[in-house]
Amino acid sequence: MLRRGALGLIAFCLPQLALAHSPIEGVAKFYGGLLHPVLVPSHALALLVFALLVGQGGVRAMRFSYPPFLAALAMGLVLAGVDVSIGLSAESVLLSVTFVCGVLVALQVPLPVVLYAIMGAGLGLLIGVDSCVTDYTRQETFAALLGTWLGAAIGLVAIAGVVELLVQPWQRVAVRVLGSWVTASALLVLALALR
Amino acid sequence: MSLRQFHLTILLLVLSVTASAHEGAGIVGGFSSGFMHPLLGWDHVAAMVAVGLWGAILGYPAIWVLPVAFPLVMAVGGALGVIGIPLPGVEIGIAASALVLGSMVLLAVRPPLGVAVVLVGIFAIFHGHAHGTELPHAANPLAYALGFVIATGLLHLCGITFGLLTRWPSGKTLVRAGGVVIALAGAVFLVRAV
Repeated sequence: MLRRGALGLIAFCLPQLALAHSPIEGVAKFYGGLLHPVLVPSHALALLVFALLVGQGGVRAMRFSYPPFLAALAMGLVLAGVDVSIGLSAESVLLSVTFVCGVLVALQVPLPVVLYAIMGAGLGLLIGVDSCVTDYTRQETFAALLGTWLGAAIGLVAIAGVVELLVQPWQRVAVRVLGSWVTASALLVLALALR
Repeated sequence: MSLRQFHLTILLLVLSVTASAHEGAGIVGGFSSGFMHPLLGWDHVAAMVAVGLWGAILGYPAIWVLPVAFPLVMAVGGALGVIGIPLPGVEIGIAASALVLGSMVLLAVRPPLGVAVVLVGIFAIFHGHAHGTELPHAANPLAYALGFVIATGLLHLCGITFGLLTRWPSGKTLVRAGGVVIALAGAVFLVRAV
């Protein structure tokens, strides 16, 4: 009885975490691409703060910023797919854009719509070009880049949509506070690049 | 070895889990070390909570202007620390921030908003410099920066939520008592720093 009890206890302790695999070939690359904008801190911050800015601007800002962002992102991803670089430190440029957008969010300044379009296009291109993949087959590269495009698009549209719905004064303040946090973080890392 | 000892040995072997001997690396390590940096220093905690409390006492718009202004100015101080520009008396400045801001809460001082922002901003430079000097050694600088900015903001939020008790007469006494505790702690920090 003692032996059975001990054996039962040991068997109970043995199970480890289950690691499930993707049942469809290629989906893992697509999913990896989908999560890429969230998992790369500089991309995630830039997307977040741009979405906050667009959300603050309302439906008009959304109408003018989404098409150039999505088109430029697609263009940037194509360039990344064929291994073309813009020749700049993408992270520093992204952080600079993040800093500017963060200041605008914190100040809650109304902007002309053309600025949303320009910033959307610039940010889309930067994120796209900086999302290069290596050692993938052509099909896997396509799946990963398509995932990245979709992930960034969902992130931008979802966050901006939520922010646009926030109408209570304290909610608008919370968005501005978030903008100031992102600005502070971006400024610190930009300073690190100056060392 | 008896059967019981054998079972016990097997059981202990099976029960062992992955050793966590090292700090997390990469994004998680950077974020967690940045997040914990303000929380592990009592002087930082006292001053951050005092900013929130004072904001609540000052009312609108200071209640949100101070927490927006603080991280922005703190980042400037942090940038000085990152670049390596020395700032004399950082520890004294941090300790003084707890003493002065705690006293502001205690006495419920209501200066014009601009004066409050400048005062908080001056102290934010010292706090930022202390955090910034650690940043270059972080596993992931961006995650570290984000971690300490968020932790600072959450400490402000703690102060603001506690400060909202000023809506009730007994709450005002409690908040001012909080100011006493912070000011006394600041005095102790200052004596140690000098």
